[in-house]
Amino acid sequence: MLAAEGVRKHFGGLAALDGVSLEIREGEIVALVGPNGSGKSTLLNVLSGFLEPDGGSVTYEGRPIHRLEPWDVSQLGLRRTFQLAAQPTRMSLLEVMLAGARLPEGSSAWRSVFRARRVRAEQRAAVERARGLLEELSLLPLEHHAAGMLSGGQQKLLSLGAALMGDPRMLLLDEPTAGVNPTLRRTLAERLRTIRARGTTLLIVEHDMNFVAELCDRVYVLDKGRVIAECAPSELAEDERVVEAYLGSVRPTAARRAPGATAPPPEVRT
Amino acid sequence: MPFRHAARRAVATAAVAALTVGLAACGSGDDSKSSAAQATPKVNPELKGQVTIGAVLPLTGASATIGKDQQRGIELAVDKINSGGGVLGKKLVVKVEDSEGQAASAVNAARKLVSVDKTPVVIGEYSSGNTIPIGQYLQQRKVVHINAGSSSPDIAKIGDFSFSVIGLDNIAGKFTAEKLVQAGYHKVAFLAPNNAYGTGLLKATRAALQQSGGQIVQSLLYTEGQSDYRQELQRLKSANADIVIYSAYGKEAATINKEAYQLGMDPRKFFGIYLTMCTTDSDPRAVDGQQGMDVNYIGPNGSAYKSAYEAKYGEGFRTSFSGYTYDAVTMAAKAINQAGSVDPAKIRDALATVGKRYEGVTGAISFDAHNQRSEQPYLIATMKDGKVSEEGEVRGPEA
Amino acid sequence: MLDFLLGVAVVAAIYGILAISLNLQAGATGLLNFGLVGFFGIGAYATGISTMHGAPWPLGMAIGLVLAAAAGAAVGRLGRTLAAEYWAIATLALAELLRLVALNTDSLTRGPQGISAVPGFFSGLGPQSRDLAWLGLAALVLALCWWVSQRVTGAQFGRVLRLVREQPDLAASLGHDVVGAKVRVMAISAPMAALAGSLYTHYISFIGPGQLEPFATFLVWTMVVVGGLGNAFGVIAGAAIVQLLFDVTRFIDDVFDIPSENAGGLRILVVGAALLGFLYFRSGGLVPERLRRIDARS
Repeated sequence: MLAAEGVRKHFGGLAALDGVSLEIREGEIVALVGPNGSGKSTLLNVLSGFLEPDGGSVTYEGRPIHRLEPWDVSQLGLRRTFQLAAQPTRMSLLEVMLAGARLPEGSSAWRSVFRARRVRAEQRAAVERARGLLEELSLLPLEHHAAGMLSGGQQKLLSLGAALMGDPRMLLLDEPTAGVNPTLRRTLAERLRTIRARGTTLLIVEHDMNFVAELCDRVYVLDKGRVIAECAPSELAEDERVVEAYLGSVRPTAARRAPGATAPPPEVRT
Repeated sequence: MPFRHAARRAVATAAVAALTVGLAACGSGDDSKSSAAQATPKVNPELKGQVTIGAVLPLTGASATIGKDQQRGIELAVDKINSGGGVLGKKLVVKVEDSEGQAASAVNAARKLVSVDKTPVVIGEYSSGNTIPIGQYLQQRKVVHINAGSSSPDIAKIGDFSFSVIGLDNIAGKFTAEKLVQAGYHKVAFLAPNNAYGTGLLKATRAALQQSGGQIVQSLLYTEGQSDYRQELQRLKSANADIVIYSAYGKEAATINKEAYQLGMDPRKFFGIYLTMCTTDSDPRAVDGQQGMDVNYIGPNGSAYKSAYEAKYGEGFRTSFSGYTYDAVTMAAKAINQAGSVDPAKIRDALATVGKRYEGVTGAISFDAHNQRSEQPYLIATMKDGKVSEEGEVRGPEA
Repeated sequence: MLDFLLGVAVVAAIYGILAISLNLQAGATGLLNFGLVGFFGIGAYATGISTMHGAPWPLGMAIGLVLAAAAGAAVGRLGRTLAAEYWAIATLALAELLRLVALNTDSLTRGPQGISAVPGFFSGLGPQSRDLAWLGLAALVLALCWWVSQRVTGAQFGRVLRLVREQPDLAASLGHDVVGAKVRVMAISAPMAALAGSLYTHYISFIGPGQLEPFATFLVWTMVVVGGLGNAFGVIAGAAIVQLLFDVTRFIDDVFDIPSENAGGLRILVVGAALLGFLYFRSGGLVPERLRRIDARS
């Protein structure tokens, strides 16, 4: 569904992405992991059109998208969230959710002025849907609050909600669990599974290996701008290259604990 | 909230700039030496009550130097009139409003004078861009308008309530051109500010020169308010003209003269239009030998005016424009007395008659069919030891 | 006095139109336009130049609107490459450029002396009635612009603008053409400023380059900040209050016996102090922008 082929991106002398190729098939939940500076966010930006690659290509459902504007990519059904999910301070949650919806009548300035009735009708349906989604995300009581005043975790949930309002066929999530408390993380994994069940393919950039293991079908490992491994989450701990990349950092617990270990290994952190 | 910060910072900077301008404008009101040397005017104790007329002047803004000098002319006229018979046996009061050098404020000022102070006559402004809208408004309201500072030919079209005591069409330029060609100068350079005054002057000078057989080899309209004019002066220097005609006022006049001198340009090869105004703040060495023309303050009324100005303000003329507002006020007073009323229509009729032949401090005034001044006597002068001294004729190039 | 106040009211209403225009740009979309007076000038000179050549006034006004829309769109497109503060400086420079063109192109604009005797409206009426008619006209145009502004900012397009204002990346990720939104809001708001220019030119029957100086832009900014950036009703209130402040302080020297030349500087000081005061103590303005509440009906 989404394929990157030999993507290269330089910033000055630094090669942030040095020939990255990957493929995500419809219906999958794929993770993208790697140490800091490996190029995960850069890759996400290239995939979603926020950065243009210096070399290589990105195709989505067969068509090349690497030269498109980010909003055009979004319109094609490929949406993304941000690592720092900063929300506007002078818009309410409900407004942000509506902004995520596809409202062709309301998006036109002309029709906003001259076809107000049609615009209002279109909006009513969207409001219903938005409130439903907010409820699922446990944010409905805050629907009229300023979006920027939410806690970090709540802002992330709101981003997810707004992205979903557009019925994306594919979602790129940038560290959805960072800053989210552990209990919420479990529910988040549930939600993402439901989202996949409803027909949205997911690519998730993550540091939380437990989360990855719980949720994802496959994992790509990135290091210094290159894909160094592609495997199932359970195989991550065994892969020497991966361990080396993380400089001997911790293994995921979902696999198996080393015999004799008493405390669960801490999670990999940024 | 990046937007908020960017917006606040940007607008706050702009606000500080505006405040600084405001403070500067406030402060510059004190650089006139009027408070120091002012003699207390003697008001005729017999005068009972008052008659108010109005004036809109650029007391702040780019033309503040001129506006404040115009105000001096008004003050002197009021002193003269109130020490005598007043107007209709009453004290004359001239309510001066600041136009700030902007058309919108000027019109607003005129409105206030007409609808609040109920003045039957309004004098103003200096810049044609402000005089015309005021004049049009006053014409609409059938209030007498007297232009004492602008020279755009469009002023003649305002209407029957609008008068000019200053010659339109930049007669100063025509006069200068003819005198210079007569004296033997044919290749002329030209320097003036890039505003209505300067461009009008250039047009008139150029046309008159071409008619008389001379030509402008280099003309420069400088942007006002700069701190350095060397670039413009260099270009004039390399044009190799027989003489440089220039006109400037305020701080730039002093800067221009100083920098021209520093660049090695001979002051004797400069001709200032309204010489007094051009040299009033300049270093005497930088302008020694400069020639020029000026408003004719000689004659029965003129020299008395000059002395009165110097006595009251403790210095010579700051600009050449104070005499015009003086004449405007005295003519208006005479017209009101002649009309025997403060009805604007009657004043208009009386003023048209008064202006047929009037001896002003700026020379003899006579109105043409459009109530605009037709004659404008000027004199030729030279700078000697920092003083403007009258000459009979222009000194030729060989001298 | 009534005559004077009517005059203040007409000018305040025309400034109100400028405030609505700036509010759409800076308030709704975060576009820091420091060259608003340029669009005013396009409308004013389109009217002045056309009537000078004998064209009927609707044609002059229409030309001004079209040129302003095109210029606005072009300037909005610049927002693609320029970050906020740089765009602000660019708009300031472009407005100055327009002023210099007006100042120096004698053949087209009559240079520094400006274009006079522009036909006014309602010339058949007596002075008092004419002022009232003008007030009615200005208020009507102001109401129209306000209505358009409310509609434009009320629905999804308005949300896109507000998102572009604070989080343009979020807007892009949700499928909204950020540059296109800027272009469109400029193309809608610039003609409003041009309309204000045309109206003002007909009102005082004159236009000159002296009216295109940056001070006018900053006066409108003061109105918008004092009134409430982001709130259409607020900025109109701001226009009325600042205009009143500015014009009524003309009476300072009558009441307090200050020499007139100092009074002029004092008035600018008052406006500047009001602007700074609000920026520091009440940056939301008198009528701050409120969070829009979307209920089931809307």
